[in-house]
Amino acid sequence: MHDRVLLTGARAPAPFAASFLTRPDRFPDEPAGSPCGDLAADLLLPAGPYRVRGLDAAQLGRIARRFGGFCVPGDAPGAAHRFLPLGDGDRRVADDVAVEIGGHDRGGAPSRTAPPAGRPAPVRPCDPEPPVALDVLAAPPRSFRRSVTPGWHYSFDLDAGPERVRLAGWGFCALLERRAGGRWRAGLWVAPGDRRGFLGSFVNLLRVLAAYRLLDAGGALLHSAAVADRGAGTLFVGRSGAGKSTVARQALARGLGVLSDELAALTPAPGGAAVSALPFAGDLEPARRPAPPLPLARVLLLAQARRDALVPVSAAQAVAAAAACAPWINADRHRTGALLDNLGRLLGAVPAARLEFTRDGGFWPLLAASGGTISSERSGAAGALTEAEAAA
Amino acid sequence: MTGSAAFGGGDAYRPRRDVRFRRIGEEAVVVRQEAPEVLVLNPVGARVLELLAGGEPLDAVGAKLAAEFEVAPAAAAADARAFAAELESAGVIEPAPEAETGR
Repeated sequence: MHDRVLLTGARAPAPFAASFLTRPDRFPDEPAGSPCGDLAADLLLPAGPYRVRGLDAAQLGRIARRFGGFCVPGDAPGAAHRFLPLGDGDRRVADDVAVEIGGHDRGGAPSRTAPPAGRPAPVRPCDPEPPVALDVLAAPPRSFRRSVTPGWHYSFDLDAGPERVRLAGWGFCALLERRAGGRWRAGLWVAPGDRRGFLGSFVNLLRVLAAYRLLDAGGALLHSAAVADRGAGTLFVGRSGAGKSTVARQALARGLGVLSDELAALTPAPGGAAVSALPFAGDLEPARRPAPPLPLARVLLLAQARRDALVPVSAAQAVAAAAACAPWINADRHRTGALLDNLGRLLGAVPAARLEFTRDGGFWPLLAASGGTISSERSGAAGALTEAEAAA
Repeated sequence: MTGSAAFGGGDAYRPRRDVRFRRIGEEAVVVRQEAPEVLVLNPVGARVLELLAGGEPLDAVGAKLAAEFEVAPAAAAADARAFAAELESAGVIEPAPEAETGR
């Protein structure tokens, strides 16, 4: 009476942050921290912008280089708004922060504590408050354990509660707090001298923030390749190793647009769903500038096989596969129901099929013949271009 | 309890703590976070889980299946018991404490 799909959620080992922080039991009360600098930038991600504050010049430079056109420094001409410098009078936790640590996913007892006196935070409300505000704080280097695998910055623990999410990895820890209206406020603690590790920590946090923010915007972050053709998007959903980058490369070779070969944003749109590029990528270069969302025309569930075939699936099967490919949220018991609600609304009316495919690309004519938006010939009329595509 | 023979008609079950499910059309999607895995239930299975989650005991689930799917009551009751056993074996449901069922 049922089919099974394995989840791809992060499952943190217990106890939280023991591998990464010298005092994991004290986080987020400790470490203390102060803004790394007084620079800021907006990241123009879907359901954003994400306002990043407390940056020093080196950090801002690395972010600007990494995120290209997605990044709008605060003092750049044409910025949509001014960023306020951080003032000493605001370097304390806001009084309205709900400091409840609840719903520990690994058996920890919920507890309540007062806002930690003296914990600095660069709080100065901007007008308007962005959907996501992220403060970068310098923490004492002794707060972090040394990495046993130098250069590896992509492993981290995640502990999700009803209103707060904690992260910790090599050289960083972070706290995400959900505010009214699905807005998120986050703090990222880093060692000030860790120039090389900063960007990896920042990108790790940004991926998680994107997953949570998109959920609250009625959407989802999905492991998927997103291909554009004739003004519409097709999602190729699959876990790691499913063939997303293979599909993306072949799409580029066929003159199609590629929004993503790893993570794509699924969002509500008039009459259905839309798909957007994010500056995160797998084997290809990440998108370098934001583009308007494309209406979602079709969802394809990747399944490597010895023959090429397109097998229609039900909406429930599409939702199940998408849920299995929604990182972090599908492992968050406080939000899995909302994830299923979002996916049901967004994918319920979109044609879906299982794409059984060989890696030689023989499936593309199948897609064209099935009445989708994928052209049978090189179109050269991609709906959204990435720099990777332009380079190709 | 892993076999249908162990299931009595008055037994009540509830989704396990790590389970979330939603109806999507006629089917249901079930997320089991401890496994971790996602299940898709067919319309009958979806209805059985929905009724059990709503607090209906197994005998009532069988009766409702018989009415809604137009099958013989005995066959519906047997299907309900068998699928409840399957759901419990799969880690989706567990016996509800008597305090929840009023027994």
